[in-house]
Amino acid sequence: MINKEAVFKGTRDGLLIVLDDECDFKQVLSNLKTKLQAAHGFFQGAQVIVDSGTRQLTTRQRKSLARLINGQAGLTLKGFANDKPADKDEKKTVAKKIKPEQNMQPTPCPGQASELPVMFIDRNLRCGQQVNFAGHVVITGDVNPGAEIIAEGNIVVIGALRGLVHAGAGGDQEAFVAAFRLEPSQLRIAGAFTRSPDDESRQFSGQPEIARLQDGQVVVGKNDTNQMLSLVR
Amino acid sequence: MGEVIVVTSGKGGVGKTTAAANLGTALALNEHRVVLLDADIGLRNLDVVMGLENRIVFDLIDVSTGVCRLKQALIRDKRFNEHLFLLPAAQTRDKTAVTPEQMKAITDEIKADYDYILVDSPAGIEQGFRNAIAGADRAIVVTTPEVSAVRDADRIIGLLEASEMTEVQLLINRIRPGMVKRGDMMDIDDIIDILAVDLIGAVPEDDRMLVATNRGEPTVLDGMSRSGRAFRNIARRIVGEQVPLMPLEAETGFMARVRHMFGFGS
Repeated sequence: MINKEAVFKGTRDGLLIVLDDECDFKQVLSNLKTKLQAAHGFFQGAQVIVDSGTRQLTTRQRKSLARLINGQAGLTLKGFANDKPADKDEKKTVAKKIKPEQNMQPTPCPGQASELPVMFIDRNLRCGQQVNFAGHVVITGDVNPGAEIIAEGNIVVIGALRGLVHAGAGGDQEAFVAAFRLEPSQLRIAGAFTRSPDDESRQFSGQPEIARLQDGQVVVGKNDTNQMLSLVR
Repeated sequence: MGEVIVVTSGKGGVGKTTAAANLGTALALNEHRVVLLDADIGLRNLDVVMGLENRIVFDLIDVSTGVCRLKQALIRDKRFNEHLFLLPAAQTRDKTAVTPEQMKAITDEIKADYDYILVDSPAGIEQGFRNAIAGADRAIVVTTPEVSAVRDADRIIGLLEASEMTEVQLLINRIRPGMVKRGDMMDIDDIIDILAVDLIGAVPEDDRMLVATNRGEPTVLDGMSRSGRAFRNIARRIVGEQVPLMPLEAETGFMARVRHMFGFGS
């Protein structure tokens, strides 16, 4: 099912499209076209960088890529990366090459869980309201104290998370919880559980954060918007 | 055609009845025809706060069961000519004595002849609450700057949203500016940040309120009372006027921030 001719990745700099090294350029182009059209303006306003991997693009091929990408509403082709013969290791570090001063380590996306369905909730979840879902949950709004989300997959809150969340409720150790403002009253991932400290020692960091399991313990790390969006995809 | 506004809160003791009485009185002072409807069957207070207790003959249940006509049960408040009426709750029954359908029928009937119907909701989220919101076009959720009151307000807003009430506004009651300033009390910004609804007004804590309530005279009639002034402003906002939030105390820094926040920057 998964087409690898052109893979989309969200980075801090915008959208990174990684082209497959082996397959035919025509195939890559048509696959890319299908994907962009299927996105229905989802990438609106994105700056695009095309990573051609080991493939060497001819001027003509570059032009047709530029025509395709710039032809889509709101997309701008910013440049090409790796457009020279290179070995695979080098390809993996392409993101760093673009802007070496920024930490571009791609977050390992729990691919195993990505087969799960996703529920989108476009409102605030208020006290006493509960969401129970056998998949990922994405909320564009706040999760207030007293609200609960229990999901078998990941939980992403595009807003303030102040309620109770349980990601990987089916036991998925790879599940994560990400929020623009991560201040849950209680946070559970698979079998592990944490709560906000009683004292005020953990102040809100002021930026999006992500919580995942590390050696059976919930660990909270920084997260940025683009990374978070790439996790959603 | 009038408008039915339910005054509700979830938590008890935050000032629903006081708010309903004061807002109704203030609207009546501005020459709107107002009916105060007490939906707190079994624990009625609105008649006491309005000083109309000894004039009750018929009540809400009598109207819903057809014992009397609506006009017979409405108590006219003589202080406000033909502008303020009270439909009292029954004291000897409980919340199950009336259904949401019956409540809607009553508010619909009142709506035809009056400008504003303020429904004083009971605390809680059970049938009394469902009765109170049944016929309402919009809601004013009352809260105080306490974590528990804000939590309950959040719950109520969720229930209102679930019952497709689109116009929900927040009234923050009993703010103590001194405590807010010292950081001992949640401020307006903190509350709005959590509840994410429009603010219709903030009322400072006022000792005169207790005295006035005990006497059966709403504080909006007291020209010296700060809470009375806050309620008069809220009544004007209900009608749709743009009234800047008044300073909770004579302190410019705090107010400048609040005004700025709600776009009333001066």
